[in-house]
Amino acid sequence: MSHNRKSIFLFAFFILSFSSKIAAQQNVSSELRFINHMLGRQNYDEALFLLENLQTKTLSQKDSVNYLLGWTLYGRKELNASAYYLSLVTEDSPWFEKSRFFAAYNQAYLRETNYSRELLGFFNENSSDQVVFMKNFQLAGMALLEREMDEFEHHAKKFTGNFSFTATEERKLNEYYNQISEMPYRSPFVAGIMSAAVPGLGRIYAGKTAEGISSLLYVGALLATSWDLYNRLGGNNPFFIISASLSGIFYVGNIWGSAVAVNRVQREFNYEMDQRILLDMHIPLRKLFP
Amino acid sequence: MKWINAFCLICIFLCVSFFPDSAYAQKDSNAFLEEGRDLFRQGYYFEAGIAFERAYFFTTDNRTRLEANLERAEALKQTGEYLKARNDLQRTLHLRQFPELHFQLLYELAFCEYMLGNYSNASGSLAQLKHFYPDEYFSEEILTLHALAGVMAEDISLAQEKTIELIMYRNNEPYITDSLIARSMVLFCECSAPILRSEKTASRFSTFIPGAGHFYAGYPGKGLLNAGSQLASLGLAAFMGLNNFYVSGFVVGLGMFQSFYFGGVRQAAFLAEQRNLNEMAVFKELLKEFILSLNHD
Repeated sequence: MSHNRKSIFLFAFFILSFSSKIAAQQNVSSELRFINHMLGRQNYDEALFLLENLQTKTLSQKDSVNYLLGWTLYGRKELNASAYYLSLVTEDSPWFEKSRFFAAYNQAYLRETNYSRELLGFFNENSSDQVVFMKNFQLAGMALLEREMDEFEHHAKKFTGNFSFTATEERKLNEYYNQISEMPYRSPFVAGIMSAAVPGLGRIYAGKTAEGISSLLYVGALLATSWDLYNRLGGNNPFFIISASLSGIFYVGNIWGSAVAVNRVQREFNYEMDQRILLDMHIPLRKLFP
Repeated sequence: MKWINAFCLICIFLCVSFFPDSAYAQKDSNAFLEEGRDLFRQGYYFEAGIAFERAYFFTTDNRTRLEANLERAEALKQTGEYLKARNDLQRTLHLRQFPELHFQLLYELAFCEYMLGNYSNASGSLAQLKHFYPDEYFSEEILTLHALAGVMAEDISLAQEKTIELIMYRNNEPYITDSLIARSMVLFCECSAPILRSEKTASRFSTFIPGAGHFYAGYPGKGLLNAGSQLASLGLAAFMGLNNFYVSGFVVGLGMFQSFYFGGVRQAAFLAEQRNLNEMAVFKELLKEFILSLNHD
């Protein structure tokens, strides 16, 4: 009888200590659920505060915290820090694939594509078809962001259109590839020379027709005024000197402006393309990992 | 006996292992609420807001949920986060089974909308409040807020109606009430409101008569300056042309003239808009002062 009581006591002690451990874990999981709720309501500052103060013990809890920290920082547009925390989520976590892909996307957004490739390098033939396909799609997007056209072609060959989450975006990436390839190269030097010959022509060459016509009108008007004053008053007259100086400043400024316009147009085009590529890299990720 | 003991222990194990999540919810939501109140009293509004949200999230009781939400809104208001407070308040708008809390919710919602500059929405929330709680609606706080929302939304007739209701509600001596009503009739009268200038008319005036749009907008000095500048530039063009400087006259004189002319047309519309905004702001300030002074008497 005494032996029985002792075993029941030991059993009870074991169970209660084990239960308290489970209860503590349950509290952490409840807190994580609460933080997730805060994230859902876009209360990023509060979620961050809670995550920074959360004590975790198990690997799975740490993974959850890193995942949530990554998402919180992603919501706050702190992409570098977000990528860091998302990349800490381990393979054992159910959020691993999502975290990896978003960490890679964040780095791609920050143009740290080498690090992105490194993050995606984890996935190989052993990964699921969807993941392998997504990896290829993201790599294609990164190649296009870096204007590595050969590398894009290599990845684009694997585009099948079979996966609903990338079908539209595959087509769009191919469109961007064509637009980028067809974008003619324009030389700032040539633009400058053209504007020196005919004011405003360099801007028209750069693709800014309205600016070019406007430049032609005001520089032309100033030059005509100088010529008129020279004819009427002579080369030593102060009115002519003022007018000629102004004309010279505007004439040279227009040459410089034409050369700059070429770079500006190129920059605008690249910016627009990059934003579109990034958007189309992002949409499939949200479809695959809602 | 042995089996009973074993059964009890198994029950304890099962309860402790699988109950804590719901226990966290049931038992602690009130504790979270209390914690939030403590933090709020100590001035830790950010932390208090989190505690109230925790109470909101874990409770299964709608009343606690509504209370927690209201107190969270209060904490958020203290940190100036009216948008967040408004959004959070809206999620419990459907809980009408607790009239005293629902009433408070509608008032807080209107207040947050007012602070966010959504005066029509504030007015709408207060109209709902009047619809659901017609007796409780008549209070200084609510009538004042409604009148102020009317003023800011430029719904002067609504503002006047609410101001008169506020005066009546205060139940002053009859002569004071009469005097205040008379004053409000003058203040809220259409004749006291600023005459707003049409931007289109201002720009049309300046299109046909240089400077006239500026006069219409109430800036005669600027109108004269603009008309003078146009005249001077035309004069310069004519003078240069008469002296055979045709090209220079055309470029300098007419170039300057077109700048002054088109600039004048645009400026007239801009000035009319500015004038309207300034005069309306002064008028609103006057009405707000009057409404707020009713609570100080």
